This record gives sequence, structure tokens and C-alpha cells, in this order.
Amino acid sequence: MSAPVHRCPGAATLVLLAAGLACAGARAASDPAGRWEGVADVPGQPLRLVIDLDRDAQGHWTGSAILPGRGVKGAAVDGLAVAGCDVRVGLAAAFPGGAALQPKLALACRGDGALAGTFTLGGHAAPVSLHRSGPAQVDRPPAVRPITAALAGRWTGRYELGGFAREVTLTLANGADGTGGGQLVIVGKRTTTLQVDQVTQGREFVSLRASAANFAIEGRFAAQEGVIDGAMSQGPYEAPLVLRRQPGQKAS
Amino acid sequence: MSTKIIAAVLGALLSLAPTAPRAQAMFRGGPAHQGVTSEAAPRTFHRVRWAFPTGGRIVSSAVWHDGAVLFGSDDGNVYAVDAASGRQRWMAHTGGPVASTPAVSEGRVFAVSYDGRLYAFDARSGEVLWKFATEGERRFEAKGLHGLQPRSQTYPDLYDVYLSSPLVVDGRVVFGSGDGHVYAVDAASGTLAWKFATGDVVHASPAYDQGLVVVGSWDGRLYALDAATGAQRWAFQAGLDPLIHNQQGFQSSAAIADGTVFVGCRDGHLYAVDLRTGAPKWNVDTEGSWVNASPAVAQGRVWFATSDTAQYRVVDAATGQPAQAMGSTQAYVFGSPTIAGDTVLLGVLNGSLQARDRADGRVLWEFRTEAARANRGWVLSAEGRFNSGWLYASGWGDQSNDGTRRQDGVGSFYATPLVAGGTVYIGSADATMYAIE
Repeated sequence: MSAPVHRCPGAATLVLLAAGLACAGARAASDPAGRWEGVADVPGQPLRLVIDLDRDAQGHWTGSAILPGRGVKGAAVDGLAVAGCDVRVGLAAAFPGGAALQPKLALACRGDGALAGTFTLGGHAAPVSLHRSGPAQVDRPPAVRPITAALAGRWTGRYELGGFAREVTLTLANGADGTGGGQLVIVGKRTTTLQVDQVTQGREFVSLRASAANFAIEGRFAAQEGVIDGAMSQGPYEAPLVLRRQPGQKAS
Repeated sequence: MSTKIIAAVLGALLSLAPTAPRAQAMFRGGPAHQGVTSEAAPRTFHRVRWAFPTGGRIVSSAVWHDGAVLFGSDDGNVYAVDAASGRQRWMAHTGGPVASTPAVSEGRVFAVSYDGRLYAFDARSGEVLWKFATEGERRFEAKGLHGLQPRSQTYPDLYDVYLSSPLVVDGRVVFGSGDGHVYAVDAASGTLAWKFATGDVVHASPAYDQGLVVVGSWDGRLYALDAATGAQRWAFQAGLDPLIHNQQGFQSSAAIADGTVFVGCRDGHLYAVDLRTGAPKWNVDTEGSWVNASPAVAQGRVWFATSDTAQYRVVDAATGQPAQAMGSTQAYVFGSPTIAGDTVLLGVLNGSLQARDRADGRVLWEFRTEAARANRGWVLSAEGRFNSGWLYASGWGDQSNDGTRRQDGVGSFYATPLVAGGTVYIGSADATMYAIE
């Protein structure tokens, strides 16, 4: 026993139902903003898709994707283009190696209110049909805030991985765009310098990431003591790491 | 363990069974894990009010906090979804599948992830407050598990689907880990209070009553620990299966009521054990069928369900004798029953959520996922049972494991239903959290 997840309101009479269907088709044609769910008929492996499309505060189109069962929730779309009834969506962030696979949706509205077209990936193409299931719930990237003076500056620490010690020097500052970033110098058998491109400072917890190397540091942040007590990780490998602020190195 | 069981494993292979809670902020509704709520469940099915898609299978059960349902997903996130609208309030990322049920206490949400960490999030924003690292997660594993071939190969148990769901008691978060320990961590700071080593993976959720933490391990023992110190008070030894390891281990979480611990075991029994001493009181023999579901206890009765034999059972809490005619769930049950007023809710791995009359056990209504209704690849028989002979081409490891994974394709309900405001919330292996009324 089951029922449709979403019902068409006001479909109490045939007249209203007909009007509602026509209205739904027109709405899809004129405004694709909303949540769209459906399946791409990849042979032998249907791909469930949930695409959220909406306008931001400046009126620009924005969107995100969910791939149920593939571990993808709220992946940012790329190359989003909406022109009347035509919608183009890139899904590179939703697939490992997405840039090479070039996954894309090319959609157009149908008379029944659906968005239908083609899903392409790795040189293949499959038909796709999406139906509107509700208002858009676009996942936007978390707001990045400047780091505080207590976190900015030079930090040092040491970790051991695979039986070898590494000395770490971390320098953090706010960039011209007002977000935190910096440089990570790791000295072991050789010296490695990484750019820290993501810094998330919470009330009690700090996360740093050097995306190009999939290297991360996170831990409890004690501003008064000048300590970040946590761990480093690189993929599945991790080790305890305590970073201590170096005196006289506070910056903003 | 009998040869009959081995043959069953090699032929139609493997079994299953899940878990179910209630409208409160912890697995099974409270520290004693009785699985009972005063909230009334719908007596008839009306509609799916909303469906919230995530990126991964949901085996986590939903809990209630401030008008939102909170749950984990195998996509690695913990979600807070507005119960009225079905819209996301926040999403917090972890480093692995969140196959445990969150607990909420004093504005903090605690959840265990397959990245081997216990997380504390701010309940309003999802901001990470602290993380506590264990020695790492893993599934239960064994050589020749379930009779798989080659028998000298070590196999992770694909039916070990849950992570331990945290218990919050006396300002501490208590949970089990794949590293074999039970941990107690200060809820405010995330610092270790104590840890206790068992002999194997601990993925059951600890229950608490009268100063004791009770939790089972995959080593086949049920432990009672002093909640203040972690010192062992007693251990109850259940059955072991040294040959194929199919008939051993506690996946079910204990429920405690009136000085008795009720717990299911993969050795094919439901046990009743004295809370103070660990002495066995009675047991129900399910003839080899796993009892992975955590029992519910109310007014002198115990509700539980079985895996392979798909039994829905109600027994007297004092004697273990049948208190109701046995029912069939059609397919394996891992999820736990939720007692909601005069209704019992139970998720089944064939993608159906069943609502039964509490008094007589008859099925009042059933919701089936779209995937279950579509039944692509004939995962289910026409009667709604798993097509085991079709799914499992042989007893060789890779082929068998492929069959196990295909079962989830019907949107299995591993989770336990949450009832709040007349609505049932439950997540499915189809990656969707459903609000059903």
C-alpha cells in the first residue's frame, strides 16, 4: 500500500485536474526552479537523480545534485545554463574523476511537465526523465568566514606516520577575499610545501585542508593556550598531531 | 549449529534482520532501550507526507529534537530535517557512513561514523564541537564466514550493517566500536572517561539501568559494566560457532525492564538475563534464526522478530512463553519493533514497513517502497520473500556477497520507526527518509 509522495493540489475535479496539468507543463517551461527527481536509463544500471535548481539572491541560476545510492548529496553543479525550456547541467563534482568523464544533463520541458533529455558520461548517452517533486532545496557551500586573530599566525608540531617523524609548520592568515588560508610545510625525509585552501574555524574545533594533496588537519582549538590538539589525515592514514602557536607570531 | 543450517547457508545463503525506536532523542527512545513511546501511530495508512533523499543507504534510525528528525546516512552525513516541511535544516559531514542512530542531549548531537570517530555536533547548526577517535572501525569478520568459500578466506560480514548507537547517561556518551572496546566519553569535552575491551567488534548499542551499562559483543558475550568506572560486573556467554561463525554474536541491542535484560543473539535465541547478576532466566529458541532486532518491552510482554524465519513474536516477559500467536513478516527483520500506543511498527528488509495491532498482531497496514513494488531483478518472490535461490548463485564469496548487496535494491528497512505527532519517520536502503501518516 502506498501513495504518491506529492499530490497535485486542487485536483478535485476533472476540469481542475486538466487545468492543473496544463499549468504544470507551462510552469516547467517557464520556470525550472524546483526539485526534479527521476532516472537516467543507463543500460543495466539505472541512475537515480535528484536535481535542485533555483536562483540566488542576484537572480543567477544555481543548483546541486543528489545521487541516491552513490553517496552523493548536494554536489554543486557546473555549467548550469537555463534558456527558456532548455536546461544544461554539468555533474562533474558528483563523480570521481568527473572532469574527465564530463557527466552532463541536457534537458527540455515536455508537455506533461517533465524535464526530459539526455544524460551523457564518458562518451555514452542515456535517456533521462525528471519530474518536479517540490520546491528547490539547493545545497550551498558552507559560508566561509575569516579566521580570528587567535588562529592566524605560525604554528608548529610533529607527527609520526609509518615509523617516520615529520615536523610541521603551519602559517595561517586571511587572504584578500577575506577567507582563511595559508601554507603547510612538512619536513620529513624531504620537504613538502602545501597550500591550505580551506580553513573552517568553529567555536571549539578547527579543520584545515590542503585539497590538492587530500591532506587535512583538525582538532580542538584552545585559543587561550595556543593549542590545536587533534590529528592529521591523508586519505585513510592519520596520526595524532598537536600544533602550538609560536610566540610573537600572531597575525590577522 | 547444525549441518542443516550450514546447508541452508551454502544454498539459499544468509539471513537478515534490523532495528526500530520512538519519538525521543536516543536509540530505542531512552537509556533502557525499551522501544516504547506514548505517541500514537496511525492505524490506517494515508500517504507519504514527504520523502527526503540522501546520497546513501539509511540504516540509522531517526530521533526527534526540537521539531526535527535527526539521522545518519551511509553517504557520510548526519541530517536534521524539519519534521513539518521535510526540508533540510542542516547537514553535517563525517568521514564515513553514519550507520548509527544519533543521540541528542543538552543541545548536542552525538553520532558514530565509519571513520572511527564519535562526533559531537551543535544541535541547532550541525557545527562540529569535537571528535573522539577510536582505534578504528571494521565489520565483524571471520574465515569461512557463513560457510563461504574458499573457507580459508577471511570475509567481512555484510550483515553487520549497524554501528553502535551512542547512549548518553550522567554526562557521558557510551558507545561500542569495531575496535572491540566500549567507550565512555565526557559529553561536554570529548575526553575519555573509561574504555573496556571485549573480545571482538561491538556494534550493538549500550543500554543503561541501575548504574549498569549492558552491551553485547561479537565475541558472543553480553557484558554489564559499571557506568561510573567501566569495570565489568558480569558477563553472560551466549552460543559460539567456531566453524562458520554464523551462529554467534550480539548484533541486537539489549532492552532492560524490571530488573531483567532482554536481548536477541545471532546464535538463534532471545535471552532474558538478570540485570544484577547476569544469571539466565529463560530463552526462546528460534531454531537457528538470527535475532538481530532489538526487543521492545511493555507491560509484561516482549516483542521481537527474527531474520531467516521472518517471525513476528510476542512472549511473556516473566516466562518467555508465547503471549500471542506467531506472525510472519514475510522477509528478514533486522530493525526493531516500536510500540506506539496500540500499534506495533516494524521495518522489514523486503522494503515494507508493517503496522500491526498491538493486541493481536494482525497487520493493519503496510507501506512498500517504490523499489519494492518495482522489484527489479526479481529480488523478491511474488509473495514478498527474498528470492534466495535466484540471488545467490553459489556459496563462493564474491558471488554470494553480490547477492547480499542486491537485496538492498528493494529499499530494505534496516531502521527502526520513529513516531511523533501521528507521523512515522523511517529511513530506507533506497537512501530516502520517509514521513508517513
